[in-house]
Order: sequence, then C-alpha cells, then structure tokens
Amino acid sequence: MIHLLRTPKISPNDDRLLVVRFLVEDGEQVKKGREIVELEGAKTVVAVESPVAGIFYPFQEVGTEVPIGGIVGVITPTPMTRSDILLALADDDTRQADAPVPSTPGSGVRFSKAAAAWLDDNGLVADRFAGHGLVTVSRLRAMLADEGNGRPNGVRQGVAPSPGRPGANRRVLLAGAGPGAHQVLDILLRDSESEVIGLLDDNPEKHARVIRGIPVLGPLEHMNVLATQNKADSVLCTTPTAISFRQKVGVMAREAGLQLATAIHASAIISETASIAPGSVIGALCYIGPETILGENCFLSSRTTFEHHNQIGSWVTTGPNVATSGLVVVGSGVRFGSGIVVEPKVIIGDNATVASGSVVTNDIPAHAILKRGSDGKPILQPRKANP
Amino acid sequence: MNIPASCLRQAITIRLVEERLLELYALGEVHGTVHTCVGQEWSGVAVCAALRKGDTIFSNHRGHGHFLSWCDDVEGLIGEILGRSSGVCGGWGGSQHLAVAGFFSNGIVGGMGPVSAGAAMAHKLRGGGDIAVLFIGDGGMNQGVVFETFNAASRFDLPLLIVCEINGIAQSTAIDTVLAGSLAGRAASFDIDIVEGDTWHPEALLASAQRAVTQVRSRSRPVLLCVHTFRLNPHSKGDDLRPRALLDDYRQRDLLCQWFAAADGDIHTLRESCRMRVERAVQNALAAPMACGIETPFPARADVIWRPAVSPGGSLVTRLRNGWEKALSGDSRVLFLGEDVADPYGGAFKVSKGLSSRFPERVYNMPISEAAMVGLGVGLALSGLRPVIEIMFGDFLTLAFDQLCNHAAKFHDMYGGRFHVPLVVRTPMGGRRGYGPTHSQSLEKHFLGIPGLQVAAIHHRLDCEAMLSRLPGWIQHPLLLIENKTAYGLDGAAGVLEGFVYQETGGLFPTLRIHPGLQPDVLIFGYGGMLVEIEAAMDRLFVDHDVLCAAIVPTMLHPFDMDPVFEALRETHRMVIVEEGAGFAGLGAEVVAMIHERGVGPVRIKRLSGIALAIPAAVSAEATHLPDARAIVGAVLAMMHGR
Ligand SMILES: Cc1ncc(C[n+]2csc(CCOP(=O)(O)OP(=O)(O)O)c2C)c(N)n1
Repeated sequence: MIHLLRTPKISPNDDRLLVVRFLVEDGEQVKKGREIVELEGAKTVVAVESPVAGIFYPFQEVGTEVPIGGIVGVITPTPMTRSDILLALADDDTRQADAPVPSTPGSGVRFSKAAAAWLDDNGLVADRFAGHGLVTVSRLRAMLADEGNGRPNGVRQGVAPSPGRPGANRRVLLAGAGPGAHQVLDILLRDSESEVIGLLDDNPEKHARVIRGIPVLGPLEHMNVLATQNKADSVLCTTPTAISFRQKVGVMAREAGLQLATAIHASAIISETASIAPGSVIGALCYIGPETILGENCFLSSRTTFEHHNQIGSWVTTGPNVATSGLVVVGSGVRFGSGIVVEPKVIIGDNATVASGSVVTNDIPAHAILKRGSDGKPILQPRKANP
Repeated sequence: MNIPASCLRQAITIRLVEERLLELYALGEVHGTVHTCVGQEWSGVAVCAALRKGDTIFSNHRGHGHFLSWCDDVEGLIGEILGRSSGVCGGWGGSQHLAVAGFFSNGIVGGMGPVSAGAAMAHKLRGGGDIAVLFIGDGGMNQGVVFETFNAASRFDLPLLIVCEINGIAQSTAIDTVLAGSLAGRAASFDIDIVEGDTWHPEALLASAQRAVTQVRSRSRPVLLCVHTFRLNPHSKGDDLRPRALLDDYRQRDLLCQWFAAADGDIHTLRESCRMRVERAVQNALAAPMACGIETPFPARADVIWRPAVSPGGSLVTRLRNGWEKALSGDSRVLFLGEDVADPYGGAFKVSKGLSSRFPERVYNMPISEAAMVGLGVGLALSGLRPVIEIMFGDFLTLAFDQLCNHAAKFHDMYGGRFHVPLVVRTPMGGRRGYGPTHSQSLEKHFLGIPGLQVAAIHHRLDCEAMLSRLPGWIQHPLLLIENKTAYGLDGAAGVLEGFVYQETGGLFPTLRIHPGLQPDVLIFGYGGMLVEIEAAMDRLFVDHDVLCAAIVPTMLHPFDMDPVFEALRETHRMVIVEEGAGFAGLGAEVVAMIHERGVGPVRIKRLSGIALAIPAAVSAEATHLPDARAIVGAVLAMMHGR
C-alpha cells in the first residue's frame, strides 16, 4: 500500500501551498508521525507528518506551489523506483477513493450570474461564501433558510446565515440555578424587554430557593408543564461549560414550543452586520465584529472578542478575555479557557478545547486539545480520549 | 507408387471420418452442416507433409482434411462436430471453426487471407524460418481482400504459401461462369510464383508441395500452389446440381475409391485399422458431455469508486504520440502500421510523427487496403504480437468490418477461449473539420455490441499517455480505439471547469465524472469529442442559467459499465444524452434501454445526436448538423422547464 502525502487545507484563502523544505531525505526510512515537509500558506508554515512508517519519496521540488490536495510525496512500505510507484498507483484500483479536489478560483467560490445579482439585491457580501464552491440562487436560499431555522453550523459545512438578531425574550425561564445563573440574571434583570419568571434546576436542594428575587420552580424535566403554567415564552441555559446540558436544553425548549432566549449585556458591542443565533449569553464588554456569525446557545464570558468575519459554531463557550482576530472559524462545541488569543484565519474544529493562556497560530483539528506545556509552548493533543 | 505410409494413413482417415460424419448427419447426430472434402484429401495431406512444427495454417469452410493432416486429432474433430465438450474448441466452433496450435479455420470465404499474411509477417519478424499457409478455394479467388493479401504478401516478402484448391465450383456456381482472367494471371500480376499439382497424382503433388514450401521458406516470398482437384460430394448436404454421370466419372478416377474397392491387401488392412480408430472416436464423442458455455471474457465490475481525475497537460495528439512511443519502447511486441504513418509524414493527424524514425522496423506504411491491414493485425496478434493499426479516417472502418467482426472479435470465443487477439485498431471520428460526408462521421455505434470487440473512445482529459504505455501489457481482446479529430489539439489541463470536481473510476479506461459538488439538476451523458461541448454547456448553464449539471463521460463504450450512470441518475432523475453520430440505435439508445430495464424510477431523458442525413461539407450546414454546447444548453433548459 502506497500512502500519498497531500497538501492539507490550512486556511480558507490558501488554495495552494509553497514547499518550503523537506525535513527528510529522498528515500529515507521514516517513522509514523515524523515531520516530512514544511509547507507555507499566506499566513503560516505547517509541517506535514507521515501518516505511516515507510520510505519517503518526494514528488515535488522545494519552491513549487502545490494545489490543496496535490501530492507532495509518497510513503511506500518497501524501496521502489519512481516508475514502479507511478505504475502501482495507476494499478491500484481498489485504493480508497480520495477526497475530491474541486478546482475553484482563489476564494473557493463561484457564483452564477443570477446568484451574484441576488447577493447584490440582498446587500450580501460575496466574501462570506468563500470555500463554498458553486453557488446558485437556490443554494443561497437554502443556506439562508437553514439559518432562519436556527440550525447549528458545523465548521466548513458552511451554512452562512444573514446578519440578524434573535427576537425578544419576553417571559424567560432560566435553565440551571448555579453560578452562571447569577451572570445571566445580571444581564436580564436590567433588560426591559425580558421578564425572568423562574429558574429550573435538577438539584432538589435548590428547589423553592429564590435567587435575586426569582424562584427556582422545579426540575428541568418539568419544563413543558412549568412553562405552560407560568406562560413562559422562552428559555435560556445558564450553565456555561456542560455542552451536553446546553444541547439538551435546546432540544427540550423546542419540544416545549419555547424560543431560545438571548442575554446580551448592555455593555457588549455587536456590529450591525454580525449575526447572532438565539440561545446565547454574551457577557459584559464583549465585542462581536462585522460579518461575524455566532451559532446558537453559546456562552461568552466578559471581554470576549470575536473580530470581523468570524464563523462561530453553536455551543461555544469562552472564559473571560478570549479574543480572535479576523476570519477565524470556530466549530461547534469548542471550549475556550480564559486569556486566549487566536490568529487570523485559524480554523478550530468541532469540539476542540483551547487551554487558558494559549496563543493559537495554527489550525486545531476537531476534538483536539491545545494545551500549554510547562515551558509555556503550546502542545496539540490530537483527540480527546472520549470525544 | 511411393507414398509415405503416414500420408496414406492420413488420406484414408480423412475419407473415413467424413463418410462417418455424413452417416451421423443422416442419423440426426450433427447439428448444423458439414462441408466434406471427399475427393480433395490429398491436397491437405501433401501440404502438411511438407510443413513443420512452428508453421501456421489458415483454412476455410472445407477444412476437416487440412485439420487432420496437420494434427491428426480425430477425436477432437469428431467431438467438435458432434457438439461435445471433448471437441477441439469445446463445441463452440463446429465444422468450420477449428483451432489447435498452428491451425485456424473460419467460415468466411477469403477472410483468412490477410490473417494468414499477418501470421507470415510474425514468422518473418521472429526470423525462425517458419511459414504460414492459406488454404483457399477457387471461388475464394474473387474476394477483394484476397487481392489485398496477395499485394501485401508480395510487397512485404512474406513467407506465405497460398494453396488454392481448384475444384471448378463454388457452392453451386461453376467458377468459369464468374471468374474473369485466370488464377495464374492473378498471381502473376502480384509477382507471385505458381507451383502446380493435382490430387490424382499424390506422389507428384507431395513433391510439388514440398517444392512450394521450400521456396516460401528459403526465399521468404509468397507462392501460389494450385491444386487441381474435384469435390466428389455436394457442397454441404444434398445441394449438388451437377450431372450424376460427371460425379460417377470422377468417383472412378478417385484413388481412394479405387483402393477401397479391393476386399483385401495392405490398403484394406490399413483401412480397417483406421476405421476402428474412427469408430472409437465416434463412440467416445457420443459418450462425452454436450458442450457448455465458456467463461465470459469480460468479468463483471465492482462498485463505483471515484478518485481524482488527472487532467494531463499538453495537446491530445502530443500525449497520444508520447504514449505510443512509450508503448513501442516498453514492449518489443508492439507494431504500429497504417496508411501514411511513417515519417516524414507521420500520419494524417500526426499521431505517429517521429515513431518510424525511432522504430523503423516496427512502424511502417501500409497499402490502402483497410481490410487487409486489419486482417494482418489479427494474424500478428494471434501470433502473440501487439499490433496497432491506424485507420486514417474512422469512415474507412467499414472496409475492415468483416475482419473486426468475423475474425478479430470471434476467435477467442469460437476457438473455445484458448486463443487471444490482442489487436488495437485506432482511428479518428467526428466532424467540424469540413471534410464532408465520408470523412466526418462518428460510426462507432456500428461496432458496439459485437461480442468480443472492445470499443473505447478517448476524450481530451484522459491520461492517454499512461493508458497507452500500459496497453500492450493489458490487452487480451481486440480493441477499437476511437479518437476525435477536433480533440487532437486540445490541452487536457486547460479549461477545466472551475468549481466542478473531476473524478474518474479506475482502470485503463476510466469513466470521467464532472460534478458540481452539490445536488446537480440534470445529468449529461456523452463521450469522446462531445466532452468539449458538454463542458462548455455545463459552464454556460451554471453561469448564465443558474443550473447545476453533472456529467458522466465513459471511455469504454463496449463492454459498457452502466453503474456510474445509474449512480449519477439516482441523484438527478433527469438526463440529457449527447452523441455526435446518428442517434438511432446508438449507445444512447442502449443506455436508455438499460435504465428502463433496471427500473431506476421516474426519469426524464432527452437525446441529442447528429441529424439523420449525410454530414454536409459546408461549414454553416455542418455546424447545424452536429450537436454542440448550445444544443445541450437548450435541451437541459427545456428539461428544467418540464418540456
Ligand atoms: C464471404 C462469404 N461469402 C459466401 C459464403 C457462402 N459460401 C460458403 S462456401 C462457398 C463456396 C466457396 O467456394 P470455394 O471458395 O471455391 O470453396 P469450395 O467450397 O469449392 O471448397 C460459399 C459461397 C461464405 N461462407 N463466405
């Protein structure tokens, strides 16, 4: 079996990468995980590791630009001549189908004339569809319809909602009566458009308690009944980090016919062109930049900055002082600690975790954990033990 | 008389076998018919006595005697004619289609001519001194391909012995009523020497045959051995209109008849031993199981697996040329023959430019004899070489149809699956060059569906260089390779549709899929030169009309793999089929039929093809005649709007 080493996609805007240097010799025996080649995009240099043990043969020269998905080299189990490798590759019909490599211009998107006109008519910016391939009007409609349904956006699935704000909360139930409830009450008790009517919590010890004048009504499983009794319109989750809990609340709210409420601190600044899906808590002094999309049910602690043209998935949580630069993509279920800086155009995969104090310069794959070593340098753990 | 005992025994055996076969026929044991050579036996006996192992015989419908003289396989012959699996071809060939090592017969009068010349050419190239032999009746000497064979055999100094069995009759027609000039004159005009003999003087015939064979072998030149003889029995069964008296007359002259009249003596003893042998063979054959099918030469394919398509850079013609160069340098069995293929001309479309300079002994010009050229290729391929025959324009393939359909395509199956014809015939099709009605057609549909004949159509995105370099090692069955005139100049990497995904299936002849990455509205199906039009249409449909199309572009047209089409159609349920040739009963029709048979569900299909008239030469008229991107766009839009 011959393994192909292909150029990875490292940012939405690089459709080809420059071969900077090879870190192993032509024909060298390499171990699995050994760094093979350095590739440079517009912003970063990445090292590609060998997926298997074997013998490496380069297929490109230093200084060439290789399209994303192009073959940089191969790893063979035994020594082979170049022509044998080519023959073997051609012969190997049973090889797994490779991921398709669409040929698109630099932005990775192409609009039909009708779609381009439609964008114009609706005052939408083409940039936000980068990487979406062929876009027709019906595709645009479908994307925007998805957003209207409040469907979560996974990274690179690339559903791009139009800018928008959730509707009014009116009578709100809060799910979770822990410390987060205090943060949320701090926001909503000042909000003239919201009336918090009660809290729900599964811990019986908290039932019948009152927090800042609001009663804990009962367990979560009675949401449906309690909402009807108390004529609730919406529900909001107050537990920042328990993602499964946040997801559960979302499902129960829908089943109970409730809206997801949104809590945005009066001191937060939200750009006119940013889009906020319902269900999120946005703490004091947060900033959501222009054209940034925030998925549903996120919990942003104070001083979270998502700069312009970010795509943030659902159920994302941040500690205080997390800041992304422009064009960052954050998958759903990503957890940020506190005091984190993210470089432009970085892509953070679904359910990744970023430790406090990290400076994120490279992409983080889904389910991976970016830690800080004892020397302060970042360490990327490929996958959580139990994603 | 001084006839070797082995020859005597052979002649007697042949007579007894055929007489016994006629008895079995009368008893209803023979399915079909038998052409016996009763009265002509000495011809085969004499010629084969002069041959040696390594020589190759090509025989005709009246070939039992030739066959037994060559290999003496009485059991194999009788088993074959009685339709038993013990037959030499497992019962698939029957009386007229026999094959063992060094022997092949076929039922097309004259058709084996160029095939025998091809085998002679292979012998000559190998340089071992072996020769090829063609047995042909005097009726066959009016067949055009035989003249083509004479010409090629003589001009290329091929070691070919042509044995003409002159019995004065063809089926029911007296030869002198249909033959102008003379047989000798035919040979003379091609500068072919003649040796004569007859079956009433076997000793002299043995000597003549020996002389002819020696001459062919030593001079590497064709010789015509004229064997005067008489067919004592009807053409096949009960179809003899000749006067009784004439037949009786010849029966009395026939040596075997005379000998068999004696009730004792050496001949009688010999005859008895031969008779017992024949009888044993008959009983064994009758006890053997009836013939059954052989395994299909084209295995069913696995699931569709898509991988990135290559889209190679450089013009198609350059890549074809490079591919053939690799094929020639990588495999010494490869020969590249055709009209005007040699340098400095390098072929009408320059595919072979430079090849004859590099491989002068394997790339050369052929006379304008399409049938003989392809037949020659069949003989070369049957001899283990890897001939590639260029037909200058696809329109001229019709002249070689018999060689492709009745020879190249049949041999593997009808000889019981034991012989292969790894022949490539390649040719450009298609219009848009103003060449007019006889140089612009896409005739490949006429060659689709012939069992045993593979037909592939190259398009400009195919990595044909890699394909051709591997072709000699891959090919087992004849392959007709269709190119397209307008595609020769196209760069395989240029103009790849932005935003669409190009993928292909595996193998040497992958199916290309162009996909928008999203749910397409309509599927477009086409092949070869139509790819350019399909791509242009897909682009226009997306940009101007907001419609997403996918395309399926096969290269192997027969045997045809429908799975990629089924898979793609499940996505769209709408399909436009586009073919440059006349659409009636074409590949598109077959695809529609297969979709219907499979029951893919409700689908809407439109077909586009060339208009059913001769292709006009005038540029404006030609343009409206052939389907193009505009027509595809129109068909897709009509379909989108429910029309
Ligand atoms: C191309 C072709 N045309 C016609 C026939 C039908 N056919 C079979 S044998 C035969 C007569 C052939 O005469 P000749 O070549 O003299 O051979 P003979 O039968 O006399 O041995 C004919 C017309 C055929 N088999 N092939």
